[in-house]
Amino acid sequence: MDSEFPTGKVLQTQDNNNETQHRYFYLTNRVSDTLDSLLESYKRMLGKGDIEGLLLVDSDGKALAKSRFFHVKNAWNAGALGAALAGIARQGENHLGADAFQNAMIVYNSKQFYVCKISDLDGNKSLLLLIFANEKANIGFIRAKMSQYVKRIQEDIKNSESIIKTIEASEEQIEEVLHRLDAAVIRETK
Amino acid sequence: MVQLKIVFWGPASSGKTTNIRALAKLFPNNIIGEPYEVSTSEGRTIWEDYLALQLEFPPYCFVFHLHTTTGQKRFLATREQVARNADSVLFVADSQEHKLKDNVRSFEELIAFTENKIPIIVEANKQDLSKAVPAEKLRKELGLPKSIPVYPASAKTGEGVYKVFRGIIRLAIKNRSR
Repeated sequence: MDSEFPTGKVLQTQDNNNETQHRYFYLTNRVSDTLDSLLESYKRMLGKGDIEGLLLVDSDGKALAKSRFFHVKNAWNAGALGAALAGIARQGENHLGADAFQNAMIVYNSKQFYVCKISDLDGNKSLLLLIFANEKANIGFIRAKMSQYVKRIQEDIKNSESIIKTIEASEEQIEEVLHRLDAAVIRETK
Repeated sequence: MVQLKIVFWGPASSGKTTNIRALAKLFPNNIIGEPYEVSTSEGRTIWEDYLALQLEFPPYCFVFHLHTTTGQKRFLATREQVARNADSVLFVADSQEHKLKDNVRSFEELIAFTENKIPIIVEANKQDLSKAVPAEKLRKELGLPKSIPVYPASAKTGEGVYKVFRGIIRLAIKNRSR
């Protein structure tokens, strides 16, 4: 079953006991290659694997793509939190007299969660990169490297019909697709 | 000064944000601080809407912090955070016939979250629509006991909003004074 949106492909296979297994290629697409490339660059330069994964969402919280080996529990939940964080931070534009929002960060005991605005999209939306890292990660490096990858990501999105569809999808369409997506994905990743 | 937190919960597009806006219009001189809405490009709440109202019932002065939650299923992770430590919850139900299932799902979620520890009242919103389900039928669909009041209202026209608000703040005050 192919999903219309890049929420993932579901591939059915038979295991050795002839039982049907579902393998989920969840949110991996051409943008994932670019995100992987960014991660590789980090590892190569700093020699460390402190970044757990990258997730690309729009400012409405719609998950668009992730780095390939990022086993996020539930990308749509993470996307919602990231977009909410960006939304709260944007209140500063109104209430603090600040200029346009750029990035926001939450630091936990052992993790860092970083939301970075990459670019604006049509319709009063923006593209957000969510970075999930441990406490030792050099977020500044990723931010600096990001500028080299922004154009590639924008090109990838332009050439991906399904990502554009997701960005343009209404709430009702998204709800329907999430409902149709094999419920086991959601249950499994909770 | 007593500060109370009231949360508006309900399925997507049931009228939670419209309720807050109606209250802001009803009490323009009682607003303190800056109300805000954290929403998507389509105007759907992605975190919360917030409004603080200061009302005096001598000898007490109350500040009611009103928070709406998200409604869509995909934003469940955010609404539980917003609803924590509420003194009372207003469940805003969508009275349209085809929304009954959404109301039930959302109400069950609320009950699971509050574990019957936070008092609830229900607003049967959108009563201005021609095919709106009456409040008592909504009560049956949600399986509500008689102890939970159900108020018919229309946040869009403002009808019934004051009565609902009076009910929910009374509940919050009563709950806090226990």
